[in-house]
Parts: sequence; C-alpha cells; structure tokens
Amino acid sequence: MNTSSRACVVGAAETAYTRTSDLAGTVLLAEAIRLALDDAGLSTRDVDGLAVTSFFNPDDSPYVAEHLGFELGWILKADYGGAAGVMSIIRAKHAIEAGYIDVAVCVGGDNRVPTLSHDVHRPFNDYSRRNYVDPYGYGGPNSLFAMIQQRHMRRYGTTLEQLGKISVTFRRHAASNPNALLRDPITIDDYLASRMISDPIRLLDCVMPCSGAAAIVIANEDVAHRLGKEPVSITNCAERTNYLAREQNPERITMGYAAIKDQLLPPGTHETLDFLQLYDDYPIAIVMTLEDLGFCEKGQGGPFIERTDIGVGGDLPINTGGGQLSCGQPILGGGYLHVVEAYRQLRGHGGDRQVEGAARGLVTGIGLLSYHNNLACVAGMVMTKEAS
Amino acid sequence: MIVGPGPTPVSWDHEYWASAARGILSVQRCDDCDRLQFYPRPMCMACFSPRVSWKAVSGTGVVEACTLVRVPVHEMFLPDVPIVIAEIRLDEGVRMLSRIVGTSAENVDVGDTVRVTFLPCASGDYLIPHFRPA
Repeated sequence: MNTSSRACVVGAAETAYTRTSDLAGTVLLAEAIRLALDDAGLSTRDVDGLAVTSFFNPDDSPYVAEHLGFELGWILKADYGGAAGVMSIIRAKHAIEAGYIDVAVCVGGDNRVPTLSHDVHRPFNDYSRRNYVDPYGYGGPNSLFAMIQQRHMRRYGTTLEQLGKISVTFRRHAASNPNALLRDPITIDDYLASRMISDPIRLLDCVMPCSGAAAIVIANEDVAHRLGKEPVSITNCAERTNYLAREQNPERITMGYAAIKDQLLPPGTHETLDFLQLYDDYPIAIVMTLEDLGFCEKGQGGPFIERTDIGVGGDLPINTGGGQLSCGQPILGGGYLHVVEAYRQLRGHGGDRQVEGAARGLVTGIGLLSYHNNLACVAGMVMTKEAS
Repeated sequence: MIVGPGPTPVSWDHEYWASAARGILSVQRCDDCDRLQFYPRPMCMACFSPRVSWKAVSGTGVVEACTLVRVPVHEMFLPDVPIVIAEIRLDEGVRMLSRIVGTSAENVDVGDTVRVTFLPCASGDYLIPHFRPA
C-alpha cells in the first residue's frame, strides 16, 4: 500500500565495532539490518526499500538484496563514501514521501579484512590516482588532510591543543558506548605525543579502521504511528557533491557545507540543536564543518572549540557516542554510525551519555577525497523528535 | 630512491607522458575557453569542450602545502620515508600534486620555489615529473 505521508526514522542499530571480524561483510550488514528491524518492531517482510553501502563491494545491490532475501520496490547502491549514511536516508525519505514505498532500510558497513573472495577491493578515484598520485609515495587520506590541516593552521592560527580537545572529548564519550572500539581515556598530552603519520597529522588525529555495520529504518508516518513511536522526522536536509569543481584551483579549506548552509540550517536553527553528530574522519574536519555551517566565522573554528564545552552536559555536545575517532571507522559504515547515535539520543537511550531533553540534532557526512577540489560529497540532516 | 609504480597512459594523456620523455612538463589548455587544467581529462572541466590541447609550462612553481609521509599507501615506498609530498602551484596557475626530492625532508616549507625534474619509474618506461628546490 503506497500512501503519501511524511517519512520518519523508526529504528536504528549497529553491531559492535571490532578491529577484525570472522564474519563476511554481507553477514555484518545482515546483522545490522536484523538489529535495526528489531529496534523498529518490524520484519524483513515489511521492508520494500533497501540502500546498501559497502567499500569491499559485496556485489551489485540487487544481488546483495537477493542474497539476503529481499523483494523490493526501491533499491540503491549508495556509493558516496562517508556521506552515504546521510545521503541514502535523504533518498529513502524522498521515496517514502513520494508514496513510492512505505519502509526502507539503509545499511552500511564492512569487514576491514575481507574474509571471502566475494568481498573485493575495487580501485577508487582511479582517474587521478593511478597516473598522477600513485607514483609518488603518497599517504592517502592522512596526507590529504595533513595538507588541509597545515593550510588551516597557517592561515588561521588553529592550534594542536584545539584539535586535540576534539579527540580527547570524543574518547571520554566512548567510555560509555559499549559498541566503541577505543574506550580507554586519552589526555591532551597523549594526543600531542602520539606518533606522526603525515605531518602535522598524528596517530590520534586518525580513525582506526575496523569491522562492523550500522542500519537505519525509515517508514511513512502511518507505519510509525502503528508502531507506537513518537515521530522522529528529518526536518531539514541538504547535500553538495564536488563543490567548486569547475574552478581552476578550488579552495582547499572550505567544504561544500558553505554552499548548503542556509538550506540545511536556516538562520535561527543553530540555537535549537541539542547535539551534533559530525562526520569526524579527522579533528580538522570537525573544525571546518563548524565554520562552513555557520556555527562560527570562517577560520574561527579553533577558538570556537576552545571556548565551547563540546562534551555531554556541555554547551554543545558533539559526537556523544565517541564518533569514528573512538568507535573506529567500520570502513563505509562510518557515515552511518553518526545517524544511529543521533536516533539513540532522540529516543533517550543514550545511557550515561544521554543529552538531557534531546529533541533535535544535526548529523553530517563527508564522502570521498578528490584530487582537484576538496572533498567530493558533504551532506547533512536535522533529525527532530516531536512532542507527543 | 623509489619511483613508481609507473603510469598506465590513457588515450587523453599520452601527450603528457610524451612531453615528460622530452623533459617538458605539459598541462592541458582548452581550445575554446583557454582554461588550463591538471590532472588530464578528456574534456575541459570548465566548459565541457572536447577540444583540449597541450601547453608546455615553465616547470617552476611554489609549494602551497606539504607533508612528510611516514606511512605511504604503497608499501614499496617504505624504504624512502619520510617522503615529502607537496601541492605545488605552477607559475601558470594550476595546482599539481608531486614529490619534492633533492633536499632533506625537513628543509621543505610552504612558499618554497621548486622546479620540475624528471625521474625514471622502476620499469624505466616512463619519466615521472618530480620537483626539487629551485
């Protein structure tokens, strides 16, 4: 039955994030789907839409769906890197609100070390990498963000202490997240002393690649009501792919958020947010996200972090579950874990890290790294729980 | 010093490698809108014209950003760490990623002027543009 109505998030869950796993990537995805549907109170037979994100490509999405036993009215292979969590949910929302489907599951994740030859590592960004990057001994994302961070520090005076505060705070949050991989507390001195990976990027600036998966269930409002859930809706959303791509030398330290700031967060919205779940492949990405989305002036992200309590219970809690910097980065599940934590907070299931009275939060995703412009995809959505 | 893996030329970048073999650094120029671009593509990024030609550039530029790579993606480079990777703005205005050689890693900084130098990849089949202090 296709009835046009507002889309609501009705369930979300994640596997534990582990350094390695004996399970195939597809089995991790299945486990996250099972947990998320249990959370929603639905079964696979209720699902008519499926979005899949995986880096160690398990296969074309219809074959993945067939492998898992899904008959579907809508399917998506969301190949947007770390932005895929938010971007797949935006697409599912639109499909549901158009009356095209009733219930969608969006799932992302990987086994860090693929256990089966089904899971293959495809070359990515090959147009630029193969001939113009690989011959040089490049350090991958660590080096790209190293040069972004160097530019930011030189131009704006951003300090290591400001950046380190982000890693230290997220680790404190992770202590109360049983699914997080890294839960031992760290200090700012640990951060500063951690070994250099690609100057000025240190070990504690980097996410730890891991295995795991996360899934989110979206349904039309009628289904949400039938499940007895107070609606959690997506009140604002926006995305940008290849910001400034046509410029000869695009700006390196402004992200596409600058182009979607007013669509995602119209003036007056910032103050209504109870928490932020920001894509955190590196602390400098958090700083630039805050700037480009208008939480502070461009270049003032460092001082903003310094003067703001970003911990649970503070002025503006960020990444209350530890983010990827402490949960680990379950490869392309990395963009989904922020959504799971946002939903958990809105449902009041945050346990020791619950943000009191959490009713509205922002989730962002950053996906893929470009040779020419900055980061390929950025996306964001505001999730709002309505008073029942 | 380790150079490689060598490139796999594609139909639209043959001239880039042919120029390099003659010791000339070239970038693409759009025949319709005159825009320069790097890395090479089968069309102009700015106006989508398929008519792009090659322009020899001076081979000098300025380091816009640089990093010392301690953990290279390809393990074949491990004996060379730390490797200096830089984003270089060529005098003609386009930006290029490359490696700085011919000086100790700690001596390279933002704002340094650098000049192209061509080093053979391991197979010897191609000369790869690198940069050294000018």
